[in-house]
Amino acid sequence: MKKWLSMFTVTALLMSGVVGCAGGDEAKPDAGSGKAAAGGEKTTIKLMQFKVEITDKVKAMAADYMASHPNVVIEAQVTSDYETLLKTRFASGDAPDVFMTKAFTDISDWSDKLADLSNEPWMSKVSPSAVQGMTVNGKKLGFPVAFEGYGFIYNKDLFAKAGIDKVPTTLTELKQVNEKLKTAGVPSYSEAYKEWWVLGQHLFNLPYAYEKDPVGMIDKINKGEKKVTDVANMNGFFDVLDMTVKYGKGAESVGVSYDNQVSDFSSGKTAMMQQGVWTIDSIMKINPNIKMGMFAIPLNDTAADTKLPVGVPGYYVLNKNSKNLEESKKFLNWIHENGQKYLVDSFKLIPAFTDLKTTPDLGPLAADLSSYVEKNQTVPWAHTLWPSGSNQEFAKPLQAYVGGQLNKEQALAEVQKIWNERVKK
Amino acid sequence: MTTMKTRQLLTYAAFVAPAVIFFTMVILVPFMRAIVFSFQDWNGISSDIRWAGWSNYTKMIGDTGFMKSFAFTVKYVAATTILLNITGLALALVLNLALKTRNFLRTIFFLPYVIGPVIIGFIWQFIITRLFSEVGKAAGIELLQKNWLSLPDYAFWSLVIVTIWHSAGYFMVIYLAALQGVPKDMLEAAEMDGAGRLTRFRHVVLPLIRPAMTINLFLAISNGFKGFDLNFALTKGGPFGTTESLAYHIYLDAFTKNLFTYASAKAVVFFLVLAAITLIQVAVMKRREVEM
Repeated sequence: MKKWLSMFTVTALLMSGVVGCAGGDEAKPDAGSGKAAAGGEKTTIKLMQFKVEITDKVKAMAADYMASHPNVVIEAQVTSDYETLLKTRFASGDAPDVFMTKAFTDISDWSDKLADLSNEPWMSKVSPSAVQGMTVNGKKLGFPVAFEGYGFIYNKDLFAKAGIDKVPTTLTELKQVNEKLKTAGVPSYSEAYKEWWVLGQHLFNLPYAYEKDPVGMIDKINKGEKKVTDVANMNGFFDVLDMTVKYGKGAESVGVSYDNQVSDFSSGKTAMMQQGVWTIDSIMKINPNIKMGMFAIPLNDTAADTKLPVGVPGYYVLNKNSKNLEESKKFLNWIHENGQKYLVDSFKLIPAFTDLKTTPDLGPLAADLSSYVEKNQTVPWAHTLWPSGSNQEFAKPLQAYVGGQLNKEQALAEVQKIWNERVKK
Repeated sequence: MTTMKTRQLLTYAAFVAPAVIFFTMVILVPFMRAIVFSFQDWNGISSDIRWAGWSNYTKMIGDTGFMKSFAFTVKYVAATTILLNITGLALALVLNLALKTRNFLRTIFFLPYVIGPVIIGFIWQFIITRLFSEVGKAAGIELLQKNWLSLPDYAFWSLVIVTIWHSAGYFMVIYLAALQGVPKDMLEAAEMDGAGRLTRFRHVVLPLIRPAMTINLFLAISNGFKGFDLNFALTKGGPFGTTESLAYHIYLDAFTKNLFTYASAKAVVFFLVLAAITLIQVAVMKRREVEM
């Protein structure tokens, strides 16, 4: 009996492990969120988003809204472990009313839970290039929070010190820049290849984005008509990757985290980093006097091909089963009406609405981004078209390549294999 | 007489019921749900859930990522189980001596266990990537100048070291309790009979602390297999997925790759393997325990 009991206890303890791993209770779609607005009670709008850089400002905006709309309470939750928490909250019947999704694949995965926003008053003001990413089966589902772009952010003082007077626009020029920096004794990079998104998403996006027709190309790869190796600038991608490793931390780049990367750049230890406009606050906190800019990453020797990847990092979407759908729509409309104040001036985001304007306050990175946008030298965030979750997977063979475990052909074969498996599923 | 019995039964139920209810709700129901999920096809988001038969299980056979993280987990469990028990027992033996500072030291060694593993992961990430290289440069030790988290073998041992640092104190406490339960008279009798320090340890102390060993081995094995937080916070499964523990692998499948039901099937297999291993371990160890 005693033995039986101990066996049972052991089994029970183990089960807790499995539950911890795979957990997730039955979805209860009818267990509505928030209290009903009836009877003069307060309406609670639950907001969830993943842009952790602006946590305080989002809460401040929510506070302002509550002050001007006394019958509404906004519970804002900002988290970096967003995907997990969002699914958990949906599964536990505590679904948010307003939340964020990424473009293309992500928004279409969620589409059967989302309200159609096509007829909202602000929809006609959305910048044309932000529309495609949120349109699923002809319905427009999202409120674009911002445009973001990334490239090589560079330290102007260190470039001057190395005698570089112009940003590189071709692969050869980029190599020359790196050589000059090396001669001047300045390490070019300390790339955060520990983070899957720096390598497997942002950098690896480039060859796909540089395709003439990224949507068509990725569709063909999905259908098995084309291979990853058919992507025209794939060699250029590996050339750039090699440079960031050779003129950077070498194979140890795969152990460098985002924090390390940003702090190395901000404190002047490295001359460049592959990051985007979202790093501005973090850089300024470490070194408010830094002089910097951002340029597009070239993958070949045609200067006209070199463009900046610009995309919408997240769309606000509305849960169509929410009891507070109308209140939530009003809230989005209010954000748009006060967009200049909140989205631009407070969040320091580059607006994806035609009636909102970029201001000099957004800093040098946004200014450089805008100049690429004005010259129409932008490419999309093609990685949002990849099969869901593959960006994290792609990072592994690429990290192994950086670490010297795989050669280029093997790394690409692994990428192809992951792609095939993700499509098959 | 019968009222007596019903009253007893009621009291019994009253004490046991809360635990049973919580266990059922928090563990048993989700566990059953996971088993059901493992036979379905669902991405974790849509409202369209289909039945998939055994396909989730058959798919697992060719899944190299799953096999790799399985191999890593087994290696990690072996290393941590051995090292945790050795360091835990060694610390306990030392702190069982009549040292002046022993209460203080016991607290110190136990302290890391009180800190959450995620925080520990972040702190150690800083120590390993920044402090180690500084120390290495100052002392001229090449080993420390490398970025440990960028090299698969080093990353593995980083995880093991941090685990030991974190949990050794806990194992120490269990061993200490067992050591203090060893009767003094028995040790003295052995000493009278001419047994030296080592002989006394091997033939008197070790058999008497077997129950603690059973517990500690079980804890080390099951905690090792279930390890998630450290992989998440310290290495993120990297470099290139070489330190992806099973639990972390399953989590990634479910929440980032949207393979919710496939992950459930993996979790069920994981449960069966883990249950088999630990049940055998406990059964074998129990047989060897000596009752006084």
